[in-house]
Amino acid sequence: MTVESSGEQQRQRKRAAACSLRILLAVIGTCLGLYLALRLDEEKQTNIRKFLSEAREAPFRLLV
Amino acid sequence: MAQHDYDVIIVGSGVGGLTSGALLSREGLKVLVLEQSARIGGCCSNYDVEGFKPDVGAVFVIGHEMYYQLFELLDLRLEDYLDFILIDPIYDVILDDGTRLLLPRDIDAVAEAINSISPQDVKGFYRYCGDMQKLFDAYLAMQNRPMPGLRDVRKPSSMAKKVMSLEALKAAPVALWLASRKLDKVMNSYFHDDRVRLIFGWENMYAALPAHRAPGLLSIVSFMGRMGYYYPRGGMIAIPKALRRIMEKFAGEIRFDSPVEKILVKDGAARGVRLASGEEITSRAVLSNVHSRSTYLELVGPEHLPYFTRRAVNNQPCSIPSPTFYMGLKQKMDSVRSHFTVLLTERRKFDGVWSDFYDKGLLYRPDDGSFLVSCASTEDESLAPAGGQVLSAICIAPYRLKYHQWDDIAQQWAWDNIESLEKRAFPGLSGNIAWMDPVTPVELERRLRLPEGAFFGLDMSPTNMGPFRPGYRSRAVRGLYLTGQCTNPGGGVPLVMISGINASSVLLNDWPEL
Repeated sequence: MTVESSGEQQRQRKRAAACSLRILLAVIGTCLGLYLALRLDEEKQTNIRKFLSEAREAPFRLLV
Repeated sequence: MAQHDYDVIIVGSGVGGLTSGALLSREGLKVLVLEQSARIGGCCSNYDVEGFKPDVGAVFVIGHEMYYQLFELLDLRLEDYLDFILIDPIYDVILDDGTRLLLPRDIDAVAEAINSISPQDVKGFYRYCGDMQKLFDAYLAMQNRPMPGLRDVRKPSSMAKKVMSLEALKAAPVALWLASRKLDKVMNSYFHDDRVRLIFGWENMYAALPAHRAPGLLSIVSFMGRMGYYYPRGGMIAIPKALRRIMEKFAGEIRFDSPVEKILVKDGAARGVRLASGEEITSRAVLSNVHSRSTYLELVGPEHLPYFTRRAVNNQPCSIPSPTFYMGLKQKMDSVRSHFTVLLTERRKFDGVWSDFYDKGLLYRPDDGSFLVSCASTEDESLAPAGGQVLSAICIAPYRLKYHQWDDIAQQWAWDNIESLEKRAFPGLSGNIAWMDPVTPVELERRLRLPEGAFFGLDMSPTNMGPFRPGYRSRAVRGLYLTGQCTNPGGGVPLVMISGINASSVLLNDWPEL
């Protein structure tokens, strides 16, 4: 095994780990979202949606 | 330097624009105000139908001390231009269970009224007044400090000198306590009876928020009435008329029936306007008193705006509309006992109107609704024909309806609400109406060029205030300035007046570079 191929293997392992982490976070996020959607009443869900929408748009308002 | 027809063109004759017009004219600038309609004032105005003159938009004066600040800047006496009449009694409150209380200005008299329905809350009422008085004293101390010069009003040192006082320090603990709580918690801490909590905590209606989400600081609004609500003789239009007189005293001009079609932008700078008639008028700067969405997307045009500005302006939510139906009454009614009659449903229904109806685009049953009815002719009988009265009834309803179009249901909507008012507050109302005008959110938008009929311009939640609200100086177009309810500090006559002062200050400080 050459030095380059062991380095390449390390990079591949890191990429795989990062990918797994992203998948895990996505699954956790989805489960959390479903849990909240089922537990929260309609008003709270509406408020959360409004809050997220505002949080997304607010920075652009600094440019007006 | 290129010659211009005027130094500053102001689009719109609302209070913000006219305040700026008066101040800038006084500073020697050549100012032209262009008003699209035949009537001055925008959302602080009235109109005349057969001698009935209902107020359009603003219906009373709160914080009249701020008007003295403006006149101090102008080096003029307010009394030479405006005659403010004290409103007393303030509210005639009618609750769902038939309780009806006439609340005067005098605090002891109010305590007596509370005692008649909830003796256990009298002590809490005096405690409430004591706490609110501290805040009011701090506010008065600020108003009584001399105004800096117009160019200096926005300097941090000037603002600090205005705000800092012993009274402000004394009020700080109460202010912090209120700021850390929602309105419902604040009311619960003073009062036990739900009816009393509602009587002193219904103003969250203006913020379009239920009590458990409305800021605790709103609790001071009810107390401000005890310190003085006023009404200008001649109606709310007296305020823009006074500002016009002042502006013309300093050689400012105003043209009516002159709708602006475009703000002319050359090399990224606002250099005048084009009217709907085709006439072009040039200026070194343009100050818009029109809603920010209309200013940027219609008057300036999206082609002159960067993507992020277009996106921000397009997506910034408007404040709630204030659909109103105006009524001219043939004869005075004894049941109209005060400038304001406030009809309130019980707390849960009152707060639920936002999530149960408003957010869903639905109209509630009138009997389940709350109303603010104002009678301008209570203080000034000249606003109605002899023996008559003029009423404005403001209610809560969304701009976009899920199942209807406003134009199709306007009349029915108004008469259904009138029926409810007749049952709950004013017996014989429908038979006494000489004239009625339902002004829906769509109609407000049409008449005042006000997107979504939103009197307060933009939503006044934290993500739409402060740095998130359009600046006085446009960040997208050089030489373009904004004033009015879409800028800080927000909607309401004294606030747009402050906006006019601040916008003028910014423009004046920029003047050498324009």
